[in-house]
Amino acid sequence: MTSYAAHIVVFVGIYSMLAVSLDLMAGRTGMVSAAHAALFGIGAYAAALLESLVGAPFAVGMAGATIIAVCASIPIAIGTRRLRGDSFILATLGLQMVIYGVFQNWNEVTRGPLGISGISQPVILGWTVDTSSEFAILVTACAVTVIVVVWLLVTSPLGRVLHGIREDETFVQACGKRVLLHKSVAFGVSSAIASMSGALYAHYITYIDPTSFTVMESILVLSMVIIGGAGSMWGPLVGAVVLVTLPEALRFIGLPTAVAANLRQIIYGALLVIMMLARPQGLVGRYAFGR
Amino acid sequence: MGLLFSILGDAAVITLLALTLGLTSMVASGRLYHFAAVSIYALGAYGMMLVVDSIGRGWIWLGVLVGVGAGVISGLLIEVLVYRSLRRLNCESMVLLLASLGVMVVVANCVALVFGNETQFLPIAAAPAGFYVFGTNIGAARGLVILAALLTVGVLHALLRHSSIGLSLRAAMSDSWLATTWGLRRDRLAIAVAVVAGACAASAGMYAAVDWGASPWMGFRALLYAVVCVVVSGSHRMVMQAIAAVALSAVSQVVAIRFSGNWQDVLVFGILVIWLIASSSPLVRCGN
Repeated sequence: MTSYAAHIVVFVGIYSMLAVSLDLMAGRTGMVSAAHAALFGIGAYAAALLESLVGAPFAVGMAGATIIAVCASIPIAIGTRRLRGDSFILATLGLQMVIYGVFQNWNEVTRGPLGISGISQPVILGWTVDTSSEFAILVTACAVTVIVVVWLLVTSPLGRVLHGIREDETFVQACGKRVLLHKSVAFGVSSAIASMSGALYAHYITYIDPTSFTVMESILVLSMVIIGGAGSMWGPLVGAVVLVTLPEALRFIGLPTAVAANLRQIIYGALLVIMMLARPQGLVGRYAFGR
Repeated sequence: MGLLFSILGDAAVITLLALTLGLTSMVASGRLYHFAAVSIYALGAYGMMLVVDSIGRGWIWLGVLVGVGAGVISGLLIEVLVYRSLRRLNCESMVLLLASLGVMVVVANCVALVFGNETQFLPIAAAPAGFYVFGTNIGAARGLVILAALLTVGVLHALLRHSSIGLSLRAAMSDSWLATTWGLRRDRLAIAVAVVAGACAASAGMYAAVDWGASPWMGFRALLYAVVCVVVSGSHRMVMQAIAAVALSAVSQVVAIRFSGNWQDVLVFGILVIWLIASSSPLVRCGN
């Protein structure tokens, strides 16, 4: 596998994990979050800081990042439990901006706009993951594990309750289910996966700064879920593959990098609008989003 | 006094955007969704700058007209091509919001492709000379935008209270299904609102371009501030939106002076989150 192809596989894997985790909230439970990039960022910063401050190895850093993200998500889930639809989106958008502001301005910890550099390559049981190909294997393994875990979750009784919450939260509550608990579990698992993908991203790029975790990144992940098909197993994966690989095709027609970056965003913005208008169930999904 | 006018200038921009959001949300039963106002804001600014750059500094007033025209036309296009179709499909307001985010991303990046990603500034001499109030020189652009915001708030408040179109808007916000059943033509109302809202957003964008320069994403932060004002005040309470905008600008400036300008956004969006969580009720309350 060439280094370039491996690089694409790494990004498809990381974004697949992010899209699958957001789908657990947005597509399965009906909580459309605009703060996923912030959770991704919490994972990345937590992993980088655990390594630089206490010398934590990769696995410990990743586990620590996951625990930190879950701890951060529980109060958010409890606080936003009564918000639905656009209120929930706006609240999470506000949270995204607050957390981004913290990344940007808490210089003593995050080093602000300078970011954190020199994050080491992962070492797992003596195996140093230092090439793109090796990283592609690691990320693919993580992504497959995450997909299997989420699939087991959504096909379990818990998953059926989450579907019920998406369709009619009051009815589920009337059936005696603990809606807050189930929503918190969905939020927690989603945050944990987003945080893991953030940790992988930090160790792959070896440098992080706040610009990787902006609201645009949240909209990109949301677009992946909607374009692929929310509430389905394959939808978020297809969305991630399409939105990561399609813009790469722009490189081969000789466009300057700045133009390609703008075109990439135009593509996903246009696809988002087209899907909302013409195919709310996405490319491969069945659940008509918001209808 | 300089600080006061700075606060009022910022508040005027936020107020105009809040009016844009508030008016459009009234057509959609009080649900906030029009994030594409960021695009209209930028198109207004770039429309004006294009005229000033290509014809000359003396033509800034023509630039203002072009800017408002660009805002109105883009607002109409977004309404007709996107929002109207989605409303006819009976989509949830969340879908309107997501489509609006998509439009925002597309237009901002198209603007970036045409004009570049960098912030562009008007030639200093192009900005009209300022005038003195209580011995303080306030720029003409700042004075005009404050005046425009005050006038717009006043006129819209009066229209909403005392005109038949205002009554129709309040009816659409209160119960759009019932209002449509009783003969309200919501599409026509939405067109009228798109024109006014487009002009408001473009005016705010032009002032911002004169004072701070223009960039493709220039309106996003201001729009989020406007969201806070509308959420806190209610979509149909124009005067309250203006008061909230002044309060928000004042708090933001005080934080910038006392602590650091970097923490302004954290504070403002913290207010949004806490307000939403504390109210935990339908986002924008209906009523007269």
